[in-house]
Amino acid sequence: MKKIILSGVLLLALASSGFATGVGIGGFGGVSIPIIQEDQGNGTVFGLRAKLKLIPGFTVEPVLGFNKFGDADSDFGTREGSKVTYYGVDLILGGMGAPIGPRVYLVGGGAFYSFSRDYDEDESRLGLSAGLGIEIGLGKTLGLDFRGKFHLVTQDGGGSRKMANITAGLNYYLGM
Amino acid sequence: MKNKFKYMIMVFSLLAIIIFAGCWEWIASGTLIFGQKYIDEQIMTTDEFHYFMVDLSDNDTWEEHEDNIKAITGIGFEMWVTNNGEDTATGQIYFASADDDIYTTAAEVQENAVKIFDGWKLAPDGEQTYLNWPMSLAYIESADTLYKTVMTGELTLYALAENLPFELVVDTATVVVTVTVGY
Repeated sequence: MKKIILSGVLLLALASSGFATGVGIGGFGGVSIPIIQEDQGNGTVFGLRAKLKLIPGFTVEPVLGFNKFGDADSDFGTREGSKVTYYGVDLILGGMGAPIGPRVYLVGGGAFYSFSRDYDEDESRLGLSAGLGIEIGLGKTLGLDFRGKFHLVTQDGGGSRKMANITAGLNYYLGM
Repeated sequence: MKNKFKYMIMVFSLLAIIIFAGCWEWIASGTLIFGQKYIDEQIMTTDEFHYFMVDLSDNDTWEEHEDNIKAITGIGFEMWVTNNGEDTATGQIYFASADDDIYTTAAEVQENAVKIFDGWKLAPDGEQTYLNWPMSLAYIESADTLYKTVMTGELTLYALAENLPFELVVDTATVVVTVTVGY
C-alpha cells in the first residue's frame, strides 16, 4: 500500500512540476479470463489508473487492479478462484485525452501481482502485460475506454499464470 | 509527427517481439489438474494402517507432460470412506519416498514418514463420509516437502487413524495433483 501511495504522490509531483503536459484519472471494470489455468475460472477485474502525458504520443499510466477469478470446476470438486491484486506502470502509445471520436492505442507494461487463495501460499510475482485499446472522446475532459490486455505472471520453477482482461472504463482529464 | 508515430510503433512492436521471444518458456505453459485413482473398489481394513504405492507414470496426463513439469502446485485427495467403528475416527495420511523400505507398524510410520494430512473426521457406526478435492486442501500439511517428492513421480502413502486399531471401508481414494507445465 505504501508503494501505491508513493506512486500517487510521485505522479502528482510530476504533474505539478510541469513535467507532464496532461494528467488524467480513470476507473475500469470488466472480465478476467484465465488462460490454460484449470484451477481458475472466468472472473472479474476492476481498478483505477492515472494518466500522465509526458511527450506527445506517449502516456505513462500507473495502475492498480483487482482480479477475482471465478470457481474452477473439475471432476474432483469445485475450487474457488484466486484473488489477484496488481500495481504497476503501463506505457501507452497513441496519446491520450481524446478529442471527440475514437482513437486506437497500444498498451504495455509491468506490474507486481499478488495471488491469494485459501490453502494456497500467498505469492507475489513480477508480470508483464500488453494489449490494444480504443478510447472514445466524449468531449475535452472525458474519454470512454475499451481495452483488451494479456497478462503474464511468472511462477517459481518456471511457467506462468496468464489471463486476458477485457475492460471498459471512463477517464477524466485535467489540464489538457 | 506522423513519421514519428510510425517510428514509435515500430520500436514498440520490436520490443514486444523481443519480450515475447524471451518469455517463450513462460508463455508456453499452463496449470493442469489430474487425478490418479488408487482404490476403486471397497477394501476393508482393520489393520493399524493401510498403505499404497503411488506411481504417477500410470497416469496419462503425467506421462504426457512428465518431461515438462515445472512445479507441483497442489496435492489433494478425493475419498469415500465408511467408518464401521463405534467411535469417530480422525483420518491421517503420511508419505515416504518410494525408495524407503515399507514400514510395518503404525509407530514406524508415525516416527519416520511425513504427515501430510490430518484432521478429517469420520463419523462412526457405518456412516459413509465423502471428501472432495477442494475440501481436502484444508487438511494438507507439509505441502512443500510433499511437492518435492511428488516431482519424482513415486511415493508411498500410509493411511491411518488416530484411534488404533480402526475399522474402515475405503470405497474410493484418488490423489489429485495440480502441476505447472512449460515448453
